[in-house]
Amino acid sequence: VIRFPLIAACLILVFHPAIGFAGDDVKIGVVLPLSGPVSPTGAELRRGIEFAADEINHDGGIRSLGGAPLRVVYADSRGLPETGISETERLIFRERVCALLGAFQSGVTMTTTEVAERYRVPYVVLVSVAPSITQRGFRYTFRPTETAEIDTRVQMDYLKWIADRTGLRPRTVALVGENSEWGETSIELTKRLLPPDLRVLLDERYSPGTADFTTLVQKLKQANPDLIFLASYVSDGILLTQTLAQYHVRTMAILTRGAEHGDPSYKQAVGDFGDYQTWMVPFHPAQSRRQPWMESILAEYRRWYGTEITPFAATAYADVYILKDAIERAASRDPERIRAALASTRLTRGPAMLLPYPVIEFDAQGQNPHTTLPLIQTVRGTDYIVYPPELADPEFRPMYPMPEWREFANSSGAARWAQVVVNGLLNGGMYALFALGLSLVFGVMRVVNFAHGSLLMLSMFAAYGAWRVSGLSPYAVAPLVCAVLFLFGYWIQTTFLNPLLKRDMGAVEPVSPLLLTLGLALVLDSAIMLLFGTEYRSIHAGQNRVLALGSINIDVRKLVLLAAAIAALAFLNWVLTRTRLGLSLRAAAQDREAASLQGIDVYRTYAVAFGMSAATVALAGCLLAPFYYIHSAVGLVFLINGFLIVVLGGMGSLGGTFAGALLVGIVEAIVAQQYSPNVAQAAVFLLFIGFLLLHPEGLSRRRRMA
Amino acid sequence: MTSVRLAALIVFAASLPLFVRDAYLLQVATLTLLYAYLASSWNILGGFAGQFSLGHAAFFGTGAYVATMLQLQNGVNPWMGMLVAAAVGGFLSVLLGVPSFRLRGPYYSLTTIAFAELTRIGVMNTRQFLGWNVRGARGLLIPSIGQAPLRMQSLHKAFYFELALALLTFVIGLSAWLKRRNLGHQWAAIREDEQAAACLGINVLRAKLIAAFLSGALTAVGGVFYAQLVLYIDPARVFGLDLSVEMAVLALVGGSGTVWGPVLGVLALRSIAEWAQWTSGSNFRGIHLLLYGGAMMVVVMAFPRGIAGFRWRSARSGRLAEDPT
Repeated sequence: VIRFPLIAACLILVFHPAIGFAGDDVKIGVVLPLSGPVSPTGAELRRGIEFAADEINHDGGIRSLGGAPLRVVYADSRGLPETGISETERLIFRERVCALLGAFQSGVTMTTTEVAERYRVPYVVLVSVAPSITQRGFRYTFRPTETAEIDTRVQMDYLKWIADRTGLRPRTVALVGENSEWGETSIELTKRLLPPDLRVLLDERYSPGTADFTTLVQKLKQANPDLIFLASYVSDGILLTQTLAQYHVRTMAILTRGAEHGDPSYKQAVGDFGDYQTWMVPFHPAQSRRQPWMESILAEYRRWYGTEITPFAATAYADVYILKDAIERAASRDPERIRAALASTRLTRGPAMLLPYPVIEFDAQGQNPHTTLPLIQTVRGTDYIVYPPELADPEFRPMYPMPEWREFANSSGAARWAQVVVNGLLNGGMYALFALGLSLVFGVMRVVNFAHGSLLMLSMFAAYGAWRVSGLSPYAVAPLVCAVLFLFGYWIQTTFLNPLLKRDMGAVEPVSPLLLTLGLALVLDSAIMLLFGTEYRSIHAGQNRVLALGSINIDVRKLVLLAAAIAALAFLNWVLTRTRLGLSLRAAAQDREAASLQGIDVYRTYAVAFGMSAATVALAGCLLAPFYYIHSAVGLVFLINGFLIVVLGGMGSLGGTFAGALLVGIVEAIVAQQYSPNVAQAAVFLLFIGFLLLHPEGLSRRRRMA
Repeated sequence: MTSVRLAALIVFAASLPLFVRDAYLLQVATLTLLYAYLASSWNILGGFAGQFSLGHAAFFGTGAYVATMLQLQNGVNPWMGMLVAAAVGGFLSVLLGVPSFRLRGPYYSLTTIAFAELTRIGVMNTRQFLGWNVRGARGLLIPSIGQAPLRMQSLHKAFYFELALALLTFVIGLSAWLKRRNLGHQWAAIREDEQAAACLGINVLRAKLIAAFLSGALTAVGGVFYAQLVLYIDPARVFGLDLSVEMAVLALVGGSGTVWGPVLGVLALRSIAEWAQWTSGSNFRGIHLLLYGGAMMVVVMAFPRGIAGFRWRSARSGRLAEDPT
C-alpha cells in the first residue's frame, strides 16, 4: 500500500525540474570534472573561465547584443562519460545555453560533443587532445588547441633541432606511460612518429595509482637509453620523478607530456627533482617574456586568485574569449549563427592569443591547424621555454644533454637481480606495515576492514597538518598520531562494529562488517575531500637518502618502514603471546562465547584490537608521509594489495602476513623487472586467486578454529 | 504487489516519454533505470543466493566489449551481440563460480574483486585479441548512425528509456518468478545457512551456479545497453571497481534478496544524490559519495534488510516470520 506512493515520490524527486530562466544574458554551458579523481584540474579550468567571464562582463559584455552579460552555467561530469551526456543535455534543454565548452577528459569530450552535434549546439573543446575528436566530420565541434599528435610532433621537431645544434645524436629511447586512454594514445603516437634510426629499448606501461616505481626506474637505468619519454599524471608523476632523481637517472633528455609539471602541486611536491626534464604545456607564463602584452592579464589573475595562472586555466580563459568573439560577430544567441561565426573565426590578436599560435582559425573538421606549444625546461626552480624558437627565451641555452649525464656501466646480471630482490623486500616492508593491522582485525574478529586505507589516509593528513602548523617532521609526531588513531579505532569498534558483531552472532562469515567499513571508507574519504580539497599535498622532509652497498642501492626511508614493520610484528606478537590482553584476544578470536563465559570482556578486547590496528597503520602513514603524496584517495593505492596479502599470509596470522607482504613485494619486483609493472600487478592477482583455489580447505580449517 | 497494480505501474512508467519531452530528464531517468536493472541483476547472485560479489563490473565490461567488438569489427547487429554477450557473460560468471563458490563470505568477495581487477588489467593491456582490435586502455568509440532502432541506436531518448524499462521489467519479473520457484527457496536456504541447506539435500553448487549464470548474463546485457547509450567504452570505466561496488551498494541499501529492494535503493540513493547536487551546486563536489557511504552505514546498522525490509516490517510486522525476504 505504501509502496506505490513511495515510488511516485521518489520519481518526483528524480525528475525534480530546475526551471531555466530565459533572461537578457548570454548563457554558455561548461562541462567539467568538478568531482572525481581529476577534479583539481576541473577547479583550475573553472577559475580560468570565471576570470574570463568576469573580465568580459566588466568590459561591457557582448557589445553587439546591447552589452548583454555572459553567464556561465557549470555542469559536473564527475569524469564519467554517461554523466557528461546527461549534464550536457541538462545544459542544452534546461539551461538553454547557446554554446558549450568542455570537457577536459577525452572520453567525456567524445561523448558530449556527440550530444552537441545531435542537438546542433556549437561546442568548443577544452584541452582534450585525443586526435579522433576532430576526425569524425562533426560540424558543431571546434578545437582551438593542439592534439596529441601535435604534442608528439613538437617533441620530435625539438629533438631534431637540438641534435642539429649540439651534434649530439641519440640512438636509443625508452617509453613509459600510464595505462589510460591518454597515456596509451600518447605513447602510441610517440612510437609512430619516432625517427626510424632510434631504437626502442623499453616500452613500459604502469597503472595509474601505482604504489612504487623503484623497479621501473632501475630498469630504465639498466637499459640506459639516450632519451626517455614519459606520460604521467600528477600523483604518479610525483613518485616517478622522485625515484628518477633518487637513483640519478640521467639521460640526454627526459621528455614528458607535462600533465604533471603543469600542476602546481607537482612542483611543490618534487622541488628541484623535476629539474632538467623537458616538458610541455598549452600555455606557460614565461611566454610573457617575449610578449609583454600578456603581463597585465597575468598580473590581474594573480591579484584575483593570489596564484600564478596555470596552463589549463589560461587555456580555458582563451577558449572563453574565442567563444566571445564568435558570439560578438554572430550578434545573436542562436546556436546556429554562433556555429557559423565560430567556423569563420580568424583571431590574431586579443586575450585569446595567450595560446601560443600565430592564428586561431578552424579547418573543415573544426580543428585549428596552426597549433603548437612551448617546450619548457626547469633549472633550479625557474622555467625556461626552449622550443619552438619563436617562443623560446633568447638567453637560455637548453641543458642538453642533462647535466651529470654520462654513460653508465652496465651492472652484472647477478647484481641486477640482487637489486631487484632488495627493492622487493623494501616494498614488502611498506606493504607489511600496512597489512599487519588489517591482519590483526581479520584474525581476531574476521572483519575485512575496507576503511583501513582511509585510516592510513587520515594519519597521513594528521602528519601533514602537524608539519604545516609546527614544522615538526612526521617521524617526530608519529607517537602522537598513533595514539590519536588508537582512540579513533577504539571508538569505531565500540560504536559501529561491536553492535554488528553482537547482532550477527549466528552467521558463520558475516558480510555486514565488510559493508559497514566500506560505507565508513566512503564517508571518511569524501569528508576529507570536502574539507581539504582534491589537490595533492606533500611534506618536504629533506633529501632522499640512498645507501649504497657495493652496487646495490637501498632507500633509507623504506628501510625505516621495513624496520618499523619488523618492530610492529615483534611488538604485536609479544602482546599476543606474553600479556593478559593477548590471552584475552586469542581466546576471543577462537570462541567468543566461551571467552565471555571465562569472564573476558570480549567486546572491549575487540575495541583494543581495532585500536592497535589503527595505531600500526598510523605508524605506516607517518613513515610514508615524508616521501609520498597526500591525498584523500591515497588509501586505495594500498588497500587491495593489503587484502591480498592478508589472505596469502594465512588469514590473520601476523607472521604469515609479514611473509606474504614480502612475497608480494618480491614477486612484483621480479615480474616488473622481467616483464612490466602492469604484468606485475596482474601477477599478484593471479597469485592470490591461485592460492585461494589451491588451499580452500586450509582456509576452512582455520575458520573452524576461530 | 498485485498484478493489476504492477501492470498499472509499468504502463504509467512506459508512458512517461509521452509527457516528458525533455531529453535531459529522459537521460537521467534512463540511467536510473539502468542502475536499477544492474542492481537487480546483481541481486540474483548477491541477494537471492547470498554470494556477495564485488566484481560484477567484470561481466558488465565483458558484455560491453563483446557486443561492441562484434559490431565494430564483424558487423554483427548489437541486438544479436546482446545475446552473444549474455552467453559470454553468463559463461564467465560460471567459470569464476566453479572454483570460487567453495569460499565463503569475505573470502569470496575478495576473490571477485581480484577477478574483476584481473580482467580490467587484461583488457587495458590487450591491443589485439582473436584478430579483434581491442585498443587497450584507449577504449572503443561507436560511430553514431542516427535513427536506427533495428541496430539499437536512436535519435530519440524515449527509445533508450523504453529499452531500459523493458530490461528492468524483465529482470524484476524473472526475479519475482524465480523467487517463488523451488530454485528461489533453495537460494534462500543457502543464503541463511549453507551447511544446513546441503544437509537438506540441496545441490548447493548447482543452485549457486545457476544464480551466477543468470546474474552474469543479465549484467553483461546491461553492458551492451550502456555501450549503445554512451557510444564510448573504456576499460577503466566499464571494468572499474567503482561500478562493482555501486551495484552492490544500491541493491544492499534497498534490500538485497528482495525483488523490489534494488529498485528502491536506486530511487532513494540516486534521488538523494541528485538532490544534493542541485542544492549544493558544485561547491560540495563529491558529496554524493558521502551520502552513499552514510546511507550504507545506516542501513547496515539499523535496517539489515534494507529499505524494502524496513517498510515490510512496519507495515505488516505481525507476519514477519512468514516471508521476511
